[in-house]
Amino acid sequence: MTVKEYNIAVDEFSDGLFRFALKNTSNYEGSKDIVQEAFTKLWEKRENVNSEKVKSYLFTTVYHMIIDFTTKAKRKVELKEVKFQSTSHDSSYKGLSKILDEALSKLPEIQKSVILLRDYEGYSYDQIGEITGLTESQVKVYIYRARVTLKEFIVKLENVI
Amino acid sequence: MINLENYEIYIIDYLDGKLSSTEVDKLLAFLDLHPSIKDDFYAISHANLQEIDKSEIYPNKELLKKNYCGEINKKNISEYLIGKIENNLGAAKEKELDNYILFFPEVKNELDFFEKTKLKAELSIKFPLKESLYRKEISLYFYFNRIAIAAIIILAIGFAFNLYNRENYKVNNAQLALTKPINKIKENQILTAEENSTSPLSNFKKSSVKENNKSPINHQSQIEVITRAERQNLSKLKSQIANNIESQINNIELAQRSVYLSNPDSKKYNKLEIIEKQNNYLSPKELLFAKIKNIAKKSIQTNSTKENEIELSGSDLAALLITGINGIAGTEIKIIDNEDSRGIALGNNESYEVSRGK
Repeated sequence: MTVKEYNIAVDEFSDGLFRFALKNTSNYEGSKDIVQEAFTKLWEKRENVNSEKVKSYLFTTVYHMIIDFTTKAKRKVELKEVKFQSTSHDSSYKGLSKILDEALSKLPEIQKSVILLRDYEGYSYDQIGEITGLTESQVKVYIYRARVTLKEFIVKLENVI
Repeated sequence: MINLENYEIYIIDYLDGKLSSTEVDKLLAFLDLHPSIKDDFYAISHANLQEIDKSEIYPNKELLKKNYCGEINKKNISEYLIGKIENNLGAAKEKELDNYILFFPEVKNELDFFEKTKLKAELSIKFPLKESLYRKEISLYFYFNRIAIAAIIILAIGFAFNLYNRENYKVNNAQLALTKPINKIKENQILTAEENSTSPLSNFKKSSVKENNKSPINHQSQIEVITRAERQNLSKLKSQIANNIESQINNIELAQRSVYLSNPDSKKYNKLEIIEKQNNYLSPKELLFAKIKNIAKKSIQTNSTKENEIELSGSDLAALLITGINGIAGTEIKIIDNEDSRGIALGNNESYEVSRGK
């Protein structure tokens, strides 16, 4: 890939990668490091990475770094306020967003990753499988379990309200 | 008794199945007596039965059957609902789920909850260090400029070295406080010495010249690829010659040190300090020569048989370079002089001199 293609990748994917890392790790500084390191790796291997598969390469790299991060470091809740500064003016969605954030934080790591890849980036099951190293069936099962858990969390909260 | 006044009641009771067998027989006997009534009776009874069967179709009959539980039920309804929000239900299953929701409206609420589990990316979250990730393209113009500059520097060094090597120069060790005049060896003497030399290398060089049928005064050097055996022979010769040169160099160094020790100013230095002092006194030319000398004593060929005599020429330097290239690249390239153009370096107790060849 060329320097121009690399810089386009920075423009297009760095925010998404950062959100993906932040939601998974709940660590602002750690997520910054992860994204920086992922792009450093991409630059080092730019000769071998096809420009059409840059996004997949980056998400795969970040996913593995997230696993390393979460297994090595103790989990700290360092979410900055910006995390919750939604641009939406829909107050009902804003409330739901917080509920979902809380519910998301309770999911197992793998379920969290696959559902974020699915909903944030719109990846198909097989693409998620490529990134996470899971089979398509496993991805479906994890997404199913994640949605059931999220739904139950929402139902419980709405019942309380 | 059935008559024209009451036969309709009997017919209705017959259609409802309320007549006894005796009454049915009486009705049929009555209809036989009145054929027009009999025809109406059959027309009415058949028409009513068929119309009811066709018009009264229950639209969701399948949902009421017991075997429906195999498709959508309370156990698998979540799969259908998640499949719907994931957009991976087929058209048939989608329709089936819609029908199911019609009969079980509470499932619609479940579907709404599942819809809410779809996460939406918070676009307000941006990567804060994006600027640090950008890379700048290196212009080819500057890239080639650098190469050009490097090439010019290399050429300049080569040109300067060539000029340096062309002139006979005499290294006067004035800084070493040497007193005796430098012995300059004339080129004729060098030639005579080399022609009379019986060293193996001299013989090799002569035979090489003969094989090539070229004049000894030919001013071109020739690069030949030699065999491994020849290379090994040459290595042996080199090592023998190098040993001789090393002993000669040692003699020169000892002589220089002795000069130092004889100098009243140098008495205050110990041996190590004298050597350091000596190095400090060497001019750039002398340092260059000393470095080349150290390399040469390990690598270059010489046919000199004289004491304290070291040969150095441009071709020797080229030979050094080729030796290095051979070492790195694993090639077996050798430069053979067709011309006796070696310079000479002489050393004795007091001075040494370097001269170029022809």
